[in-house]
Amino acid sequence: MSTSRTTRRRLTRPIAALVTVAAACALAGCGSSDGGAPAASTVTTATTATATAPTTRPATTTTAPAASADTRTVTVYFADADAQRLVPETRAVLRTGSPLRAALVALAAGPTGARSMPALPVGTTIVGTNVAGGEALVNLSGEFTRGYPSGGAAAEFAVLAPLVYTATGTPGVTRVRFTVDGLTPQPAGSQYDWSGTFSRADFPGVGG
Amino acid sequence: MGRLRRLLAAAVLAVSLAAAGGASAAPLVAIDPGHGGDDSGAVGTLPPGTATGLPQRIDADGITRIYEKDVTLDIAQRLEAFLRARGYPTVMTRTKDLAGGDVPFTTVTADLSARTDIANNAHARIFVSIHENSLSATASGTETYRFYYAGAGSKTLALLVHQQVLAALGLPDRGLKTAGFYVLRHTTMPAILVEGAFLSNPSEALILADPAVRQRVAEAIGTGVARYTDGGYDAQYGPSTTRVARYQVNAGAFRRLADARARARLVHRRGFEASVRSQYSARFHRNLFYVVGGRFVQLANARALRDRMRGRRIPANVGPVPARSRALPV
Repeated sequence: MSTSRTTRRRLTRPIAALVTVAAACALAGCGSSDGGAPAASTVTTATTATATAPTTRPATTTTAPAASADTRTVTVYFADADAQRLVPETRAVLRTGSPLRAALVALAAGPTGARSMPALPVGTTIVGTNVAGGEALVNLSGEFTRGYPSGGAAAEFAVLAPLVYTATGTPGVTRVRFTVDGLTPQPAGSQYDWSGTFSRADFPGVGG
Repeated sequence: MGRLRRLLAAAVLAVSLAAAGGASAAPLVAIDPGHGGDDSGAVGTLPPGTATGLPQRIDADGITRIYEKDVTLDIAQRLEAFLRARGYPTVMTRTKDLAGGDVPFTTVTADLSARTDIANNAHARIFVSIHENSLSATASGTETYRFYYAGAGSKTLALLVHQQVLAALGLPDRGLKTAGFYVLRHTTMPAILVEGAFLSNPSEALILADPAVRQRVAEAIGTGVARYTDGGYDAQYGPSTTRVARYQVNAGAFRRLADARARARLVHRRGFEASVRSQYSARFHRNLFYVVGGRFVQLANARALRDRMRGRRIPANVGPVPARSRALPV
């Protein structure tokens, strides 16, 4: 994309969309000006958004999505305050790059809803993603295991269900496998079998 | 008249024998106290000096804590006593502050698989996993889980136990739920997991700190189990109403444990989970040490893992899950 074409297009783009995408990219560390992010089926290893504590939740994520020619809308899911249901939120992300990765980066950035809970343990980053044969492989940073809930089905739901719903919300993804720094996670206190894949069937009837 | 008397006497004898048979044939109940050892489970906070009847837990800041692993073991032991007093044989997945199988905690997979191995190998007919919940200081209530592919036995057992625990604790009803929890997925009998109350909620932590409440919870679970068996559901649904894993991905089988462990470490380094299990090999007519990459309900999922392992130059094949096997520390 040439600079002049980009400039002309940006002049016609709603300012809100610019703010949204810029904020998302700043959070994700993914906003390369040349749009050179990897395609959906390739492993991405670039620096990603870091899950933040609720008190440091960036206000920029509250911007309503405004899809344009250069952006697409992804849906991210967060547990409600009682961890009984999932609440969907939409984000505008750059059309270039992996939609799975973009959605997970948005997930890591945290919810906008006041009654929703952050999904990922503080400091967790999306190290890489890959999609093949309907199965997504999501590689998370070590903070995921270190910050994983030590117990409680509700606490596990608040972390795992948003991850699974957000990943499987990506077109072509029906199940998802997680690794942490490339290895099968072993979060102490978990009640799940991390050697297999997760799907929405693991969390039936939670809405979203 | 004499014939009628003989018939009456025979009928009375038949009823007596059935009752005796029923008592001696009470189903084996597997009791699973959640967490243990280095896995504390959820951690709650108590007012200083709260008497709990549990191991005293005071953290580095001097704050009095209550650990889920202590609460679950205490309730499990009370449940065991309750059931045994009523003629039920029981098997515990742990009896001490250790992981499943009363061994030190290594990984969550080793812990959970040891628990299901104990229940499956003992041919338990009912499995009850005892847990406490955690989320926030205001989260509240009781919930009971079964595996989402489980049959009517698990569903009925969950309902009967849930009703009793709700009545015993008097907390909000978070509902009967389904989940893919390891111990529900990999057990071969009706299985449930009870989350009694929230340790993250200080008032509910205080409730669970009371030994009398824990006794009530244990009796409630036991009463639910008794209603399940007395209601004829055990006889009706039998032990195998859960859809269990039937396919196992093997990444090698070895005569020497050291070789199996070396292979398991290699599999780990290449990004896969691996456990070592001792199981009988029909081909070699002896027990071998298998390196197991995973177990699956669906053959397609097992084959997918096999192919991914082969893609990383790990020799792998899919075989049946054996009736008996024993997990060993890697």
